[in-house]
This record gives sequence, structure tokens and C-alpha cells, in this order.
Amino acid sequence: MKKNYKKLFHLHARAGFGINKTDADRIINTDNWISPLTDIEDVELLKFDLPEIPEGNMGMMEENKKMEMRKQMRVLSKDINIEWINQMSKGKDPLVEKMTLFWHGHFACRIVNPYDAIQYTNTLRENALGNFKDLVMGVSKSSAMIKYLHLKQNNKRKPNEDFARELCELFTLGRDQEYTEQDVKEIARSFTGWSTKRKSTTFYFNERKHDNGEKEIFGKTGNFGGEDVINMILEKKQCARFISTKIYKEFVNPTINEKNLEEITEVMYANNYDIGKTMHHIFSAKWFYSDENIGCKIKSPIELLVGLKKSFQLDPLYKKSWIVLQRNLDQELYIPPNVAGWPGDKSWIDSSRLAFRLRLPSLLLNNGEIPLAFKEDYDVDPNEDRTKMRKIAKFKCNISWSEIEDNFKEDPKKCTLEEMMVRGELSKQASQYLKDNQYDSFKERIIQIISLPEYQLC
Amino acid sequence: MKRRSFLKRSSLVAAGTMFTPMFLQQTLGKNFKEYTGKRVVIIQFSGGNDGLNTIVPFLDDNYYNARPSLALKKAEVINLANDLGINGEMKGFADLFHKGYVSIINNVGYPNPNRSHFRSMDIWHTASDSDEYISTGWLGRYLDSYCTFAREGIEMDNTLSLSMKGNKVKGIAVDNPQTFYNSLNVSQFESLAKSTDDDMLNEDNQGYLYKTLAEANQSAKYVYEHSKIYKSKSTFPKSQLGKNLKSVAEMIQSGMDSKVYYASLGGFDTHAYQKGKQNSLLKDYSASVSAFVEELERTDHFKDTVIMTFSEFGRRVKQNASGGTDHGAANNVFLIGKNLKQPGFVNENPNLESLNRGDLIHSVDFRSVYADLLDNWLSVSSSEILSKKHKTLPLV
Repeated sequence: MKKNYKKLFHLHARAGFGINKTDADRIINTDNWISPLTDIEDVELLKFDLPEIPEGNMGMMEENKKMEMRKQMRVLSKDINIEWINQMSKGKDPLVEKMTLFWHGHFACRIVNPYDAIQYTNTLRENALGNFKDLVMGVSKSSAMIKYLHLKQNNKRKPNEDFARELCELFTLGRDQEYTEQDVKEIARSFTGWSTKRKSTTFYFNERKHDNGEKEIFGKTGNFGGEDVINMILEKKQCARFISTKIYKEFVNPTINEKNLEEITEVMYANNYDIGKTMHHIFSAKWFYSDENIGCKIKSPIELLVGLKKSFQLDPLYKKSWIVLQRNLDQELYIPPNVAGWPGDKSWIDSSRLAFRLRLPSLLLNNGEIPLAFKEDYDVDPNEDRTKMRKIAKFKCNISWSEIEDNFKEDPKKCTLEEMMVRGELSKQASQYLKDNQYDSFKERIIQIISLPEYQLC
Repeated sequence: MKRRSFLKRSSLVAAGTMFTPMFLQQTLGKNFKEYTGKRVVIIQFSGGNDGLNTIVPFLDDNYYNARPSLALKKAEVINLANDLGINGEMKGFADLFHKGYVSIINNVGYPNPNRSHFRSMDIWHTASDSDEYISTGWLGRYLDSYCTFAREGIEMDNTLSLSMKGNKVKGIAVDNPQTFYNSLNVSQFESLAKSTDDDMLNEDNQGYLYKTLAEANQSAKYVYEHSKIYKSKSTFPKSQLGKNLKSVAEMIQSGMDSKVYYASLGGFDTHAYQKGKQNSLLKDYSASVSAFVEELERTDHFKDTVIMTFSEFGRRVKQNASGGTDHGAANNVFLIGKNLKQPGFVNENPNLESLNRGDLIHSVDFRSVYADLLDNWLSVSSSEILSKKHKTLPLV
């Protein structure tokens, strides 16, 4: 394969959800591959028409009305999830899509309320490549996070430390890095009064609940509020290092190279937490394209699904199939396992998951049937749910094979079909297998390739 | 071409589904070595089972005061002992109790209880403290330290619970042994799984995938072949749990060397119209479990098996306005086995007078029950797996 193609496919596997040959041909001879990915003027938001927030106090409602409403909320949230999957596969800016997913894992938040979900998602989107400070500020003021980490329950008489602790431990500094238990207590006081308006996602600072007293944080004394705390945290280089580490593991290599990490930490800190500039630096670095960094990552389930959807323009008859698939593969948008997010990398794979992931391409491209997973449906009758889900589990899809074949036209000298579909080197065993079992039809060939374990890597 | 070789070679393109009926029913393995050691079966109630309408304080006025319409009447309860009865739908379970096969531990929980399903289930799965996040499960860490093969931990589902995930060894999730087998019974996977090349054993992610593929392939075969050796004779309920426990019984009886089996029953999140829903779930559980015990006794496998049942939390003592209950805290845990050290009620009855935010207060940390199973049943070191020494109750 021509070296340039190898680089370009690698770049787009990391800075997006993959690229087909037609698009690669369009880009390959342009002189700047990276700025169109990182320098985004107008970010596309996730568009979803929600009905007006229903009137009436939920606490006062009768239980069957409440249940009805919860059910509607659930339906809307699932629709938003599916819309997000669509957006990831067709969005005009692949890196915005990829970074938004990354930030969802970083600012992990379980969301059932569709209004919260949209606001949270668009906060991540708007700031995905912007400034990390704006991002932390925006997420901290989002109704989803305010509810999830109990900021509403945080008041001066009885501070709730949940948010303060995770802000330091998971969102900015890393466990026990440059903060103490006492700092957490004082930070919780600083965030007292952070809330949302009633029946709305709009941030609201409740002065009556805010603790106006002096606090001592990181050795400094003052009447600090939440915003001051975020500023003080970001002054610490440890914050840039912690965020850079997570970015490195996600976008470069799950195994850290200290020298490269130090380099991007410097870039991030020197550029005042400009995410776009940091990503630009990474994708321009020579080491980003070194062999050890290509094909070394295990695709997350969402990466795998969106990648397949994008390559084959998958649009199943029952859109909820996407939800069943996410659940089966152990990554459902808006339902991270906990505030620490998805552990990622090797933890995506166990024997049963791998068996399913390897069968997945052939199932999806052949109108197959997806096995069902139910365990986490706490609030539905398991038997009723099963019947409903069974229908959705049939993954019916019309695929225009001629169009796909056009999009992945190979050029044996510059770029073969294997090289388009697989990042990194094929194992000896896999190359031998492909040599021994050759197909003529495009469809058979491409399914054979993407059913290799190597396709699970990117 | 003979049908067998046709199926074996079927390409991925033709195989759009892994639910293809198998025509082959011959028993492939004949020389299995039967496992004769001990094992645990975990049954998880998902959604937060209401323990007070399961094990009922039917002589306690506080119970009737807190639940004017939800409380079970005396006639709806089977008397067990200590002024406690059991939901009348659980006749099979009551019989097991009276035979001395059941230990009931009341008031099990953990400090600073979390009332979110997900978080609390996480805590039970990982055996963490309530402010601690751990990415491996307690059974997964057992597999890590004491087992070699993924199949030594089997979960009857399509996805693996966090509790069954170790760092190195993760259990397998098998909804149906045949489906699991079919999913890998494709010449491409068979051929790649056989690889013994050095580069497959690399520590990198590619090596990890190939290693896992080889393991999955072995496990799928092992489980599938065993699943055909023995057919149970008892009548199990037709429910999912019934089917799952039937499969587990057959795997045990066929001599499989799995140490941990895991099954779940969901739907316990009964905020409204609780009575009918919970009763039918408990009826299913009781009938499934008693068929399971009957079946294992028939082949003398019961003596080496202990069943533990838990839920992520109990429910509020007071009923709500819609004939249901909201999320609570401490709850009961059941152990079922042949030679239990303390059959019957192990500890004090739930105290309905002294509550925390309307919820029962725990007196037994759930990790003491885990520790007992690990130290005294599976004979491994609980302090290593739970990273702390927990007081063990002498139960098994």
C-alpha cells in the first residue's frame, strides 16, 4: 500500500469513524489533511424536536400517570440515542463526532430525561474542539450533571460532596492528584446553590442555598464560588496532564509513551486548554503515524457500530435495533456504567462479546437476527419486553451493494480492499487464511475481511 | 456434499443468522472427566426485590400499619419460623426451608446505601464500598486468581455481568449453548482459532483478540458438547429462569468443571401495582429453584452446590400511593444448600421501628456473605479477592 493511504486511513479511523476509498481519493492529494478536521467554525448540533415540557408537578401525579410519563420519556430518550448514532455516521465534521463521544465517556452521566439529554449532548458538541474550560463549565451547569451528581442537594446547611469529588477525581485532576479530602469539602461549599430552574434545563444560581463564607482551597483562602474553583483547578498543570493522558489513550495508544504525552501536555497547557489546537498537534506529529500506534486500539462498540453503519450505509427497518446492538455489546449511549465512564480497551472483550462481534458484520449485512440482552431493564416486565424486542432483533436492511463496491474500489498497487478495511498489519494466520480462501464476489470478500479479528482494531 | 461438511464450511455470507437449527445431535465427546468439586449458583433479582413481601413479618403490627393495602394477609403467607412467614406463592421454596436446605439472612446491605439501581448493582457486583469504583467483579477476581478457563464462570445471558469480569479471566455469557456454539462454528473462525503462532500470543491487543478467540472457541465446544450429555427429568417452569436453571442443572450433571453459574430474573422494580407482579416473579423463582434442587438431588449433585439469591436493594417499608414501594436499602439474602451450617433464620428479624429515611438498616455487610462463600465453600482466600478481611458468618 502506498504510505500515504496508510496514513490517511489511520488518521480518519482515529479522528472519525473511518473513511471510504472515494473520499480518501478526494483528500489524498490535498496539502492539508488536518485543519479541515480540527478547525471547525460552525458546529452542527444534534437536532431533535421535543414536545413542550409537560405541565404539572410529577410528585403530585397519580402513579399510573407518572408511569405513562416515564414511559414517554424513555421512548424519547431512545429516539435521541438513535438520532445521535445517525449524526455520528453522517455528520459533516468527523472529529466533532468522535470528540463528542469521547467527552461523553469522560463526563460520564446517566440520563433518562430527554430534555437533559439534548442539552448535555449539545454542550459537549459545541465545546468538543473548543476550550476545555468552557466545556467543564458548561457540563457543570448542565441539568443532566446537576441532577446526576446531586448538585441540587448541595446546600450550605448540608453540603453534598458528590460533584466536588468527581470534579477533581474524574473530570480534571485524577484520583488523589494535588487535592485533599479537605479541598473536596471546601469545593463542595463553593458549588452550593448550583441548580436549574424548575421544569427547565436552564442553569440557576440559588443564592439562598449558597455558602458565602470563606473557604480554603489548594492553600488559598477566599470567598470562592464554583467558577473560581474551576479556574483554580485549570491553573494546575496536572489538569492538562490528566486530560492529555485520557486523550492519548483514546486517540493515540492505550499504552502511554511518556515523551509524547509530555509534549501534548505542554501544548495543551501553553494554549490555555484549546482542544482543537491540541488535537491538531497530535494529528500532525510524526509519532502519531508510527507503526506501533496504528491498529493498536480495540474499537469501542459505538465505534464499531457507527463504522459499519457509515461504510455500508446501514439503515435498518426497525431503528431500535441500534439500541439492542448497543446493549448487547455493552455500551449504550447515555447509560455509562457509572460516573467513571466505560473502562474501555481490553475490557470491551470477553469470549461471548468477541464471538458476537466477529459474527456481527455478517449478521448485519445479511438481514440477520441479533441475540437479545435484557439484564438491565429494571423497570419493565421481562416477558413483555422480550416479545417486543424479538421483532426489533431482526436486522432488516437494504444495502446497495453496487454503490458500496464503487465506494471501496481497490487499486491493487496503491490500496487493496484488506488495506482499506483493516488498520495495522494482518496476523500471519489471517493473511494465510485469505490466501487460501479466495472469493470472487465483492460482497463475499468484504464480509470475509471485516469478520477477521483485525477488524475489531483501529 | 454431506450435510455435516456443508454446515461446517458454510461461509459467512450464507450464514446470516446464528440461530440455524442444528441437524447434528450426536454426542461428540465421550471421554469427559467429571468435575466433582464445589460450585456456586448465583440468582440475581434485578430491580430491587421487596424483601418484606417475600419474607413477611406477618405478626408485626408495624408491617400492617406501613402497608395498609400492600401487606400480605396471614392467609397469604406460609409460616416459616421466628414469627416470619414466606409469600404464599413460594410453596416450593417453603418446602426447601422446612427440609433445612435454606438459610435466610435478614438485614443485609452496606454502609451509605445507594438507591440507584445501577450504582447499587455495581456495588454488589464489584464488592466495593459505596464511594469506590472498581472495574472488576468479585467473581471475576475469583476467576482471575483460581481459574484458567473462561468457561469456569458461566452466565445464562447474552451479556456478562460486571460481577463475572476479571482482569485476565472473564466468564462466558451463554444464553443458549447451541447459539453460542453456532456463532463460532464457521470455518473462518475455526481456522483462525487454531492458530498457535507466536505472534498470536503477543501481549498487544491483536494477540489478546486471538487468544480470546481460541478460548471462546474451546469454551463454546466444551459447553455445547456437555449440554447434550444429560437431559434433566424434573419439570421446570417454562419461564426464562426455568429454562436457564434447567440448562445449568444439565451442565452440572454432565460433569462440567465450571465453578460459578449466574442467572438473573428482572422486573422487581415495583413502584406501582406491586402485588400481582411481585407474586408472579416469586412464584416463578420458587418453582424454578425447587425443580433445580430436585433435579440435582436426583443425581447427587446438590451436596456440592450452593445457591445464593440477592437483589441490589430492598424497598421502602411504607407503601406508596399506588400500591407499590420505592427504592430502599437493606434486604434479605438466601442461601440454598444441602449441608448448611445454620439452616433457617441466621440473624435477627428486620426492625420496622428503627429506620433510616424510611428504610431498613443493615446489620450484615453483604461482603461477609461473599467472604463466607469464598473462604468456606470455594476454599480460597476472601481477603485477597475482596481486598479486605470481612467478618465471615459461618453459613456454608
